[in-house]
Amino acid sequence: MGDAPAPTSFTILATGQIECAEIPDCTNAYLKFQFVAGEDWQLLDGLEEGITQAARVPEGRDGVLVWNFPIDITYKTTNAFGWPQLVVAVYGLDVFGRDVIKGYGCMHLPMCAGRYTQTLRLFRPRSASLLQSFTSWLTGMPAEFSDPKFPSYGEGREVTRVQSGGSVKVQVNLMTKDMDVFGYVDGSGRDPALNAVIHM
Amino acid sequence: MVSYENSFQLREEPPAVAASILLNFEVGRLGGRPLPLPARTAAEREGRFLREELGLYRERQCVLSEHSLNKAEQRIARAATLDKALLVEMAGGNAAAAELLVANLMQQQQQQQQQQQQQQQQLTVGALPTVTEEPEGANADGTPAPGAPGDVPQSEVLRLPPPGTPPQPGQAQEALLGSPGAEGQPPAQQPQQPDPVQTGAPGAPDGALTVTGPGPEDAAAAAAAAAAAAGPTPIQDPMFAYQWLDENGLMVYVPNPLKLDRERPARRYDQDKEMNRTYVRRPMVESAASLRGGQRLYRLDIELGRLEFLVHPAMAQEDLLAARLLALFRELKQREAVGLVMYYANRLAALEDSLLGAREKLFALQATEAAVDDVLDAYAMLAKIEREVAELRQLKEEEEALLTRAVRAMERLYGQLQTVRQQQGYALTNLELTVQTKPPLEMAWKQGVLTRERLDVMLVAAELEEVAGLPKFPDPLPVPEYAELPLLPVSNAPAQPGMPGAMGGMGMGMGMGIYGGQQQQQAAAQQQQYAFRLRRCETMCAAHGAALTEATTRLETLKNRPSADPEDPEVKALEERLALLGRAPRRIAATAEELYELQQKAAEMVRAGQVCVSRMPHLVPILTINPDGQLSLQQQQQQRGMFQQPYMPLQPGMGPQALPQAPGQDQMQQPGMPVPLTQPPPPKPSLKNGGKGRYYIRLFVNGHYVDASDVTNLGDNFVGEFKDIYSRFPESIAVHIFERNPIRDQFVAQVFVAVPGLAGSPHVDALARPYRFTAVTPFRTRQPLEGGMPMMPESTSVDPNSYGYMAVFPAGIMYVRCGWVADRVAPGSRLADAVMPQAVVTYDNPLADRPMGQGSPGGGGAQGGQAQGMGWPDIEAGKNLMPPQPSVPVDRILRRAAERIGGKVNRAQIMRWLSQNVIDPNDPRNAPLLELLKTHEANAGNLGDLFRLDIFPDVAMREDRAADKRMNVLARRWQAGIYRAPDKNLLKGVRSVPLPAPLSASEATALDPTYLDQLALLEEASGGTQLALARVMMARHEKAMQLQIGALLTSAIKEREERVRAFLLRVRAAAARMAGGRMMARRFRTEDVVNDAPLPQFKLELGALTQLLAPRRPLKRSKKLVKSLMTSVPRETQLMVTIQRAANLPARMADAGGGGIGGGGGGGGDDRNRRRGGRRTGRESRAGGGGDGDAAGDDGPSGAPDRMAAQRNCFVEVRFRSIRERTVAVPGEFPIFNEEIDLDVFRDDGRDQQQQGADDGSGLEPSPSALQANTDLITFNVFDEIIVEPSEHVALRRRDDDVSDPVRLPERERRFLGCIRVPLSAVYQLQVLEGTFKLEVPPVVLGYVQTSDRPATISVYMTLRPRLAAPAGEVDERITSGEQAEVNRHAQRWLAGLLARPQCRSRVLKVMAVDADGAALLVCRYVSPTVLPPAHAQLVSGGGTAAAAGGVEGLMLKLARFVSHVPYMEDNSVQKRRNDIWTTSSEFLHLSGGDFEEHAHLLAGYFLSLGLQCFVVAGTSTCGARSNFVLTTGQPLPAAAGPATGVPSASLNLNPELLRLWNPVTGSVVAAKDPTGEMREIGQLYDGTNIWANTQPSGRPWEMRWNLGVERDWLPFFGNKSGLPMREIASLQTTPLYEELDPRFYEELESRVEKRVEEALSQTRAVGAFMTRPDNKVSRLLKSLLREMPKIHEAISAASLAASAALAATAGSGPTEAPGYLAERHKLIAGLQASHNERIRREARSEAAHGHILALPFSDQYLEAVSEAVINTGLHRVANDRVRFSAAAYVEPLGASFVCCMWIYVAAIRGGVA
Repeated sequence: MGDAPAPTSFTILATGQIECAEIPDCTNAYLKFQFVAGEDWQLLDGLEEGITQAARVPEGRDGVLVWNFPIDITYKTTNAFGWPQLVVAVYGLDVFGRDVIKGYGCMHLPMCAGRYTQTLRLFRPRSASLLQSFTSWLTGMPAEFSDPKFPSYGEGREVTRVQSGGSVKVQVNLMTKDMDVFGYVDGSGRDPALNAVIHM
Repeated sequence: MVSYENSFQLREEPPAVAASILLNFEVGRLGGRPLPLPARTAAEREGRFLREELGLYRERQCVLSEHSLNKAEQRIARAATLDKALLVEMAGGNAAAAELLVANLMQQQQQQQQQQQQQQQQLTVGALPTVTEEPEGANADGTPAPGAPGDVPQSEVLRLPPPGTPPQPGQAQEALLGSPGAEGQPPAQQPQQPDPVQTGAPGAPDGALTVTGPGPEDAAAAAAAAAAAAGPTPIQDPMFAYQWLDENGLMVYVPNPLKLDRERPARRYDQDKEMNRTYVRRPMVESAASLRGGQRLYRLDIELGRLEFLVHPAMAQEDLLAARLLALFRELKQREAVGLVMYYANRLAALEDSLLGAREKLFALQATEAAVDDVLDAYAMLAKIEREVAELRQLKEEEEALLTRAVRAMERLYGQLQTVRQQQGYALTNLELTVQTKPPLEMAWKQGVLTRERLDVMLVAAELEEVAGLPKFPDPLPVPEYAELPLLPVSNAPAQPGMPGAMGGMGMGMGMGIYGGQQQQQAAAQQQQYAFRLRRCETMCAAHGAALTEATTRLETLKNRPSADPEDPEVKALEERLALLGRAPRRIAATAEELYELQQKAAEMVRAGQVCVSRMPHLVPILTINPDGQLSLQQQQQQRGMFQQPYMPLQPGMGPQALPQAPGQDQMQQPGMPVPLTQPPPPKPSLKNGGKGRYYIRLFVNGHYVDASDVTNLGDNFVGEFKDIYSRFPESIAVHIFERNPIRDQFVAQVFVAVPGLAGSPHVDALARPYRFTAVTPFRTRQPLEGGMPMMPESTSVDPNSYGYMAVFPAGIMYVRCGWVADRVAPGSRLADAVMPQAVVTYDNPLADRPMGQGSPGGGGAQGGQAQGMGWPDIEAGKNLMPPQPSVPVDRILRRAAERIGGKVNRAQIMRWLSQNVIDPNDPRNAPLLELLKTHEANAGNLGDLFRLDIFPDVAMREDRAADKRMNVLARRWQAGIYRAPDKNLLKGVRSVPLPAPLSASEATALDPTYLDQLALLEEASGGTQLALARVMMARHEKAMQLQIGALLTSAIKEREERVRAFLLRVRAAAARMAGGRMMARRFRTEDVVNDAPLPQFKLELGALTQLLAPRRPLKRSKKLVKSLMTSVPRETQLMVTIQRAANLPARMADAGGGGIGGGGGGGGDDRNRRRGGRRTGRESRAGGGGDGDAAGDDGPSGAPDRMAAQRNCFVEVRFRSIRERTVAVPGEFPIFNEEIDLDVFRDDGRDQQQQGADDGSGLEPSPSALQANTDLITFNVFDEIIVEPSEHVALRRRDDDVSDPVRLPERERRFLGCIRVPLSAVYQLQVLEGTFKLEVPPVVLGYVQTSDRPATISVYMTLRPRLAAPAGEVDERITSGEQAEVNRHAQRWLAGLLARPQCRSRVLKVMAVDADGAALLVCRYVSPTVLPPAHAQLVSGGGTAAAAGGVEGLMLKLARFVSHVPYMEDNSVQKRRNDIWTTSSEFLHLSGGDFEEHAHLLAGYFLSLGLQCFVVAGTSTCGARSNFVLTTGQPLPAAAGPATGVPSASLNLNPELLRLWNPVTGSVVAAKDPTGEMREIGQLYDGTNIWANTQPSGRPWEMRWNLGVERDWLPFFGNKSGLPMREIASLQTTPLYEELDPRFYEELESRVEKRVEEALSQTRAVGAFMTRPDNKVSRLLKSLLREMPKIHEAISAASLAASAALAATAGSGPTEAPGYLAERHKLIAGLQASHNERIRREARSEAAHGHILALPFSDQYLEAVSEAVINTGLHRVANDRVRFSAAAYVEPLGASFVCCMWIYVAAIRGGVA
């Protein structure tokens, strides 16, 4: 065994950025994001939720909203249950300056160390009826989830109807530490059994 | 010799270092050691030495580090080679010169050495030194040039004279010198030293002189001279001695070569360490063949011997009995041989002796009033001994009883045997049984002069003694159950059915299967019932302790309440009892004569045999097997039959009890004829089939059939002989015994034969081994033919079943002998021939056969041969007699062992098991196993239990409990379900509870309790917030505290909680079952998760038109209309409350306003001033008795209050969650406020979370379901505000304040007048809650008088803004319906049809309700007559008196009161967000807790059983969004309102005047016409037969039409046009069981409540830094007043029932005329208040008092409820220092468990005497 005491938890560290979004018919938007992690997961460092600047689509052909908003978060835990999820909600600004939801998206952080570029497909709830959608369009208050973390749950989805549109591109670099000690092969090529032998 | 060449290295360095000489000295060469190996030299060169701590080599690093500059300098200084000049040079810093000097010096020395060498080479011709020597020397000679660092290693090789040269006198010295050198401190003088020695100069002193002498020249000369004088010289050199000192003049020391402690090189095994391998020399295989060099072949011979049947189907009854008797006898003897009785008896006697001693000591200490500690020590000691005595005596007596029973059973058996012999007239067996009775064994006990008798006398005397406070002699002392004494009755007896059972475990083992156990029962009946009884002297301490504890706790309870009265007779009695008991038991003092008498009496009793313990005689059965055979027995028997003599001669020691059966037998014999004196019949009835049967044996080896033996016939003695020998290689040998039958052979039994040689046993059985066997299947007895035996006449009279064995399990002994024989032995030869007798030896005793090993040639194996060859026998070589062992690998052994454990094949588990259980570590044969275990342990320790994601193999095995536990923990952890609640994830409080997932099974086992604890904690803390957690922790702590104080209360509450928890489990299980294994999840609606734009509603508002047309009234504020109606709940929602007015408020009593408290109403400053002036004058003129205030005070209590003088200045406080808002204070009896208060329900900024977090966790995300489930209460408190001028009577304080704060603000005091509480959900459900509501007014408000006849009311208007519409209909869940499909369909249609109507949209409609088992049932099934509680049932059966006591109405009120006091328990607490579970009334009463509907059903059930027509009303009330009331119609129950008669329209046309609505939760009743009623909107009515939905536009009961037969108004579920016809509906209700708790429960509850009230007051006051002074005297008065309350309350409620009916009748006509009932009610209340006021004033002699009576039902959080209710009154806000507080509580039990009314009286009394 090595001299250092055995770790009591493993740690994952995610850095990266919310790069851009491509949302049809949306030229001006900002994004709120949140990390949702399970019970065991303890936030070590970083912001769990945040809001980006409002971005505009540049003139030209490829209308992409670019935020390049950095994310940097560290969690520690003892088991993989409740692996952190990144929940984003994109709000557009309409002509009156009201915030209108453009779509929600959600993804789990990658499980293995490495660099990833993920695309989150966005969706947003639909109004219950045509009339409501009309009024909501009028009032600039389209249907939205009452709980911003809702996209990360499975519960209650069955009563929603959503409409998809657009996507957000997120680039994540993930590092893990001590996962092998807890019996997870994290894809780093290190064999936990081998490690145990080496440490012995 | 020395080389200084290394010093050149340093030359380059700056001279500041001066000179440094590095000496490398190869000591190996000096010591004459061999040259280092090339590998070592290489290692040396690289600076890496092998780490051999042998004291000779050191790492080079170490060596170098010691050559520090400092030391080098010292050495230089010591060295004779340095001269002054050098030193001067060095000191002067002239390094170059110094170097030069040194170089010169060295040169000279080298020259000298070379000369010497040359001389020596001339002298000796020896092995030349290394080749490098010469050039190196030359190099050193010629060029002592710098820059030769590269050859440092070479230079180390010293040029020494070649070792081993004979004429080397100095060699020994050199060796000596070498050893200091080995220490790495080559002394600087050493290089020189050899010179004189080598040269053998006799003038060694000269040499020494030269060393310190003037110069090198001299030295050289001396050396030369010395060299000239060569010759061996002894060591006489003074310098030699000097060598033993080091350069500091200290002794040079060398490590002691003798190690202090034993040690081994690390690479060796330490025998003390665990990693030690045990070598066992196994016995070698001996064979003659090995000697010859041939192959060793062995063979196992199995020799089957005799087969003896002990039990055989063909045996006669007598044989069977005899066999049984024999078996019993054997077992008994085995048991006796253990000698337990005597052992116990001896110990018992000794203990009893010490018990007496301890007792005397304690009593003596008590008598002399010794120190408390001593007494307590002695007490504890005695208690311990007492317990031990009792335990031991129980053991002893049970053992005795067991043995006695066994002997008795044998006697009975023998009696049966005799009877059988009698019947058949001859004896087949030759058994005789005699039983000797001896005095009990323990009587022989004696120790010194103390005999057993003496001890008994003393014990009995102790028994007779009287101990203070405990019952007298004949009674046993009361011992509580929890005392750790043996159980009192041992009458339950698995052991009791007697001997056959007790002993019989073994008896049965003999295969005595008996069919027809009648005999046993008889035997059992004959047994005297033995029961263990505790003696008084054994229980004294326990009884005393229990009595003491009980008395103490009770006294504490009584004393600890605030209203405790020291004069209470109960308290006094208890105190006396305590004093009597004392802190330790005490003997009641007796005179000497009395003591003597006591002793005498005890002695007499002992003589009479009364020793207070059961002591059984020692019975000795003697079983004789008569060698004369049956003949003599038969003769004897016949003689006995003739002469009627006892069949056994009495033996000398035989007691009277010896033959209890003898008389009985005589009786049996007497009526019969004497046994005919015929000759004995042919001894054996000859049977066909070859007599006893023919048997053969099959041999199975390793489970395979091998061979069968010849068939043998059983002889007369049921013994068969087999003469078969098998030669097989075994692993397991089984022998099957078969009975040969003509048609089919029958399997009898199976015997496993031990394989010899295994596990160290001898490899040849010395003798045939007996193997017992018993058949597994019974065999029918083959009784001899009837005619074949002479029948005795008695046989007809005797029940043949009494001991007739119809079927037996044959049993017997098989003799088998096995042995390993060498191959050369011819097969089939008998073992006795083949095996030499000396072959059987024990192993592992090497000394046993040492001579044999030498002598016998057969004993020598290969090793033996060697040993012989060496002429010395190897002791450790085992005796070579071992047969070949089956080569079973260790693993397989393990695995096989594991099979014995229970089929676990997990290796780790086997290891664990083995390490725990089986292995004897001292047995060398287990060495490999142990080693294996150790290895595994080591591995396991290193690797740890690896965690893996997939299921453990252990988990797959169900029986692995640890793993299951882990799964449990994980599952529970998951179910705790705090993961995803959105508002909780943010809270870090959850994370403060460490709940890591258990990773391994062992961890789970270890941490399971912790986890469960924490999980439970989390479950309890509903919010999961830190606050809630803390609260739960506090609650736990408190609970622990409470358990100490009030055990009864706490345990009762605990039990109730247990019940609730069990019920909850049941509900959950049902839910899981119904949902197909899935827990029923919360069913979301879209509104819950999606915030949608509200659906616009287009509605024509005509109200606006009417408003336009209405007359303008500028003074009346119109309500602001909140228009938009939304279905979804926006984030910003506010509760808008408008308080309009209050009415009929009680007034201050005139004196209360005037006396003591300054300040009247808020009428105006001048008024106040005037009053204050008045008061002043009043105070001043008090002595004279004048003054208006005082005069009014005197009149006040008696006379009716003057309405004009009545003062009030009321305001309303609204509390919602933690928000408090108040209106301005308005004077008058009918204050009008008209204030609007807005309260936040949800706020987006997150502040609402903090708000509701303080209250509970139920504030949720804004969603309709959350709002509907919300139980937050909006409380309206009406206070009277009294403005108190700065207290001037406390002069001192005012003076202080004058200095600092000349302007004092008046203090405001508030007096509680009443409140109403409305849950938020009701407002949500109703959209608008408006109207006039009755205030909940305490029955007595001290200091106030009811001025109006009518009850106090308040008018409010509440709505949510934006206005929210409640969702329509029920939240439907996936529930399984218990009803028929058509009913289900109809229910859906019916509901859908109703919900489509706009007026019914948000009304409460419910057809199906989920019961505790998860099935949805019609609500009608919940209504049925219920048996009344016992107290009320008595009233009903009493008839006349009941009528007198108020008739049916009175009874109804009583019942309503009873029901309302059944604790209210929210369904929410059962499970979050689940369907409302409707329980039946019996469950409701069992749980003693339930919801609205349960209360309503119970009340309706009572009314129904009284024969009254009633309905349950479901609707929305001010008590909740979904509440159930009971509607009584004032009509009797229609006789035949069944489905057969159709709709009985007459009975459904209700008379609205007589309708009354009963609130089952508060117990209040109002007429339906009363607009102040709590029921605000009726959704539906139902009873046991039908449901009627309200389809009228209005849901208010006072506006509705009440003809249920009209379908337009009331839509029935059954019997409407389109729907189903009426049908019989079976009820779900069962008869409830009424339980009642110990009255002391209520007592404890009372004191707890009382305490809590006090605490609540003082704590809240402490927050404001106020002192709270209690007034216990008044408390006592309050308590007595409270005790009168129930009766008065009953009268008041009866009057108000009548009054409310009257009110309802006049509802429309305005408040002009007050009906008589109201007056009566008012009179009652006013009288009550007046009397209370007066009595309290008189008692307290106070100026004024104010206070309240509160009545609360028991509930889950009754303590919180109590303090909340007390604090709510605002009584604690009195900021006057002179106020004294009194509190009292009275718990009125209402006749069922937990159904009780907690009356609380709090009062603040000012003035008066302290």
